[in-house]
Amino acid sequence: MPDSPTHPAPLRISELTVRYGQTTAVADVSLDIPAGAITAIVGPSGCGKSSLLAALNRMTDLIPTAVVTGHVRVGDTDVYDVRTDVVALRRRVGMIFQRPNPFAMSVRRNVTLALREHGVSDRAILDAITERALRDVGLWDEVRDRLDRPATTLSGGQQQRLCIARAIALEPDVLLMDEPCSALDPIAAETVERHIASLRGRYTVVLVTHNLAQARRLADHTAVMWLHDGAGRIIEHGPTAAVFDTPTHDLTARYVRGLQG
Amino acid sequence: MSPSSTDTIDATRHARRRRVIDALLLAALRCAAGVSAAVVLVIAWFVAAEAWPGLRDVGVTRLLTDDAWRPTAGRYGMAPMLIGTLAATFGAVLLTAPLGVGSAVFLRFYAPRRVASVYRRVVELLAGVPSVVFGLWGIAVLAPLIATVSPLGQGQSLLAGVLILTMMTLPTVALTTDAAIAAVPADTRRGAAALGLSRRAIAWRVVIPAARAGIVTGVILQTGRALGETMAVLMVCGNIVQTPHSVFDPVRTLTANIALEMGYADDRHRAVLFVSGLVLMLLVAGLVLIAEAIDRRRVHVT
Amino acid sequence: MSHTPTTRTMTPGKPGAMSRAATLDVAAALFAWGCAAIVTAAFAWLLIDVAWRGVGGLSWSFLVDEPSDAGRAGGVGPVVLSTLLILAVCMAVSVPLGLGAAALLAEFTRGDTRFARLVRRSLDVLAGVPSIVFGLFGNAFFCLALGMGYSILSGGLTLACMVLPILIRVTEQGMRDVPDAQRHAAAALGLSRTTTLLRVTLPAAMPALAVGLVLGVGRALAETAALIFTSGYVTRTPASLLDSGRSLSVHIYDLAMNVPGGETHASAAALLLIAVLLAINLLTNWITRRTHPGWH
Repeated sequence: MPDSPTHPAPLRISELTVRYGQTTAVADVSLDIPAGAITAIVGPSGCGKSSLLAALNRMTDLIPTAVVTGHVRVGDTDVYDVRTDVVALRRRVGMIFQRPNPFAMSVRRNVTLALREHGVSDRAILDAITERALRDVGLWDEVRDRLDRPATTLSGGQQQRLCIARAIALEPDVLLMDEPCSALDPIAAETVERHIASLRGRYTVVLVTHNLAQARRLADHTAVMWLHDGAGRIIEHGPTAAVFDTPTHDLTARYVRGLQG
Repeated sequence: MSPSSTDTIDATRHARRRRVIDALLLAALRCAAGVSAAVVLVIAWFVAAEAWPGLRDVGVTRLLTDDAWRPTAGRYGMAPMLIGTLAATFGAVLLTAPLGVGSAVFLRFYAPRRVASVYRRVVELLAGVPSVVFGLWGIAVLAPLIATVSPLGQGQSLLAGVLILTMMTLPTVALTTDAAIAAVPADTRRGAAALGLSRRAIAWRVVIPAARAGIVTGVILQTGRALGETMAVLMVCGNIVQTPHSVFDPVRTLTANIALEMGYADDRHRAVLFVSGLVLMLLVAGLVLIAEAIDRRRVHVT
Repeated sequence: MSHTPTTRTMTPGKPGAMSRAATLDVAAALFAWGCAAIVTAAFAWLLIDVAWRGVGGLSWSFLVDEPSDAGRAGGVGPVVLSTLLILAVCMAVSVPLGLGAAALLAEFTRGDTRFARLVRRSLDVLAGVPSIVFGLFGNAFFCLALGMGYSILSGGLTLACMVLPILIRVTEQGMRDVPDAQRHAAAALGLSRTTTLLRVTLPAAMPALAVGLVLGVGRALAETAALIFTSGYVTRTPASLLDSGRSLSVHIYDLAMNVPGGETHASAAALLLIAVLLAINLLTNWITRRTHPGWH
């Protein structure tokens, strides 16, 4: 992009622990996530990947029993500092969920609602941003004639791409994606995956997935999470090729081999 | 041209404004909820305050033991009316519980789809008929009918009250039972069917017991409704202050008494009417809290 | 082909036991159908009877004329006006309060704070308070303590207290039924709580709000006992909210109980009331059915 308005920021996670009441979901995770790259977090289901991701933009605040300790830095911002404005933070750190969750309003409103909230009211600017965001996810040509139809009339894959467009319309520095393809059919999943790949360089993308092939195709870096003593920990991380081809951890080796066999 | 190129000062101002708006909204919502909750306290307070002179000057013992209700002559025996209220309520619940549960079983187990949807609509409509219309119908149709079989030769009676109250409470009992049955997991029903149980056995031996708490809650709440019902009962019960000895005797309920005498009552008489209102309110509040306790236990068990 | 006797591995139980179960099955079926028949018959009887007695009295002039001869003749014009005014006062007060309380309970209290529990319990009790007790309270509080006298204002405010619980419960449930995914999406986009409520949750809960409103109106229209001693009996056309005004339901009661020969007009008024309530009921159904598609 010639006039890329975003400034992908690195994430620095240190000694992060997430508890829900008595149970520990994520234990003592430290991880540096480089700016502008796609980092995959993989691991078996229930190993705390999603909890880790939710802690990065404080979605954990919405869960009454969740207690988070440790530090997360997005660029210069300390996520868990009491002075941090969580609403502003979430604007910088977008999130895509497993199931597409467009608002029950028009396609256009889905994209512009948050922009208006953040003070953009000029119709021409809104239209331009909407078009650019929808083009970025390859949705523009599919919906340009029905921008004012309810978003719920779109197909699942289209809804998910709309959710990505909605998030990147805010020009965030970081995009968190929680299994964004796993609720979609294979063809729709492939399309979404292609557009995630195209975000490389413009945003720092953290992608949680249990689909190892997807991680291998998409990610520059990969972190492997494992359930250890009932809590999720990072057991190995590094460049994707290294993690998959020359794993250092025994569990990783077996887990990755499971992919082939 | 991008929204994030607004400078940081602007962003901070924006954030501050947003926080102020959020705080204002929350305060407004808290006020609304507080006022709504306070209504019940204000009601209790005012009814109790107006009732106080009655409790102080007449006292509970005399209210229960005075030989007659002649407030203008200083005799405040309310026992017959309390008995009338309880008799009418009890009779109605006795009829409405089986009919209501039976209706719900019909809906969920016996009725063909079409019939069920029509019948559910009928019951919903019946639930919305105003009590004054039930009263009107009671006077015009039910009472004359009862008069033809009554040994007393008149229709306005405890029986008329019981029947009208049954009609009024039945729809809601049917609907709450229906909802309670719907809340029983489909697996329970499938499991019972897989054992080769008949429709009757699935309904009455498996599903209804599983839905028990919800059904009992519904019946209790409707008991409260019957206790407090005024207009229909006022119109069909005959309103004679006496302890009923048969279902054909006319009775006066506490609610009817209030409606009949509030217009002209003053001083102690008025205070005593408020005492009966207070009693009704406490009875119903007690029933509501019992129903809630049952309901909560159900939530915890499942 | 010769007839081969089949052997059964399962022998049927004792014939007596089987037939007893079968008898019970039939009895249970009869009971269920019987209940439905009784309820339907009673309902049909009531409706047809009131309609048959009242339909002769219904006419345009009945709707707009002043009542005369204690209601035996003339129409219900001023009564309808009073009813509408009472309803307007009731809704103007209860809707904002109810909406606010419901939004707080559904959106801003995490499950079970003490305040939320207190509010909920109070509302449950309030929902059970007999309407005649509301009448007593309204008389003591609005009419006397606040000096509003027997007036449309007193009656409307009393009714507002009465419909609050149902309004709040339906609205709160409607808001809770909005999928959490919507709230998460809003939070992830950095929307403020106010925006989330006003732009996401409330619009999504709109059908439920409409149902709550319509149910509240229905309850208020049907109410009699709470109005007799608050808005009063006067059949004149009210000149202001501080005038006494007779509601349609009170009118029916008065004609049926206190006016010999008033039955025909009572039935006509009852038919009018039922027709309005029926229309409201249909409207509710229509709203709920129309707004079924949406999520998933």
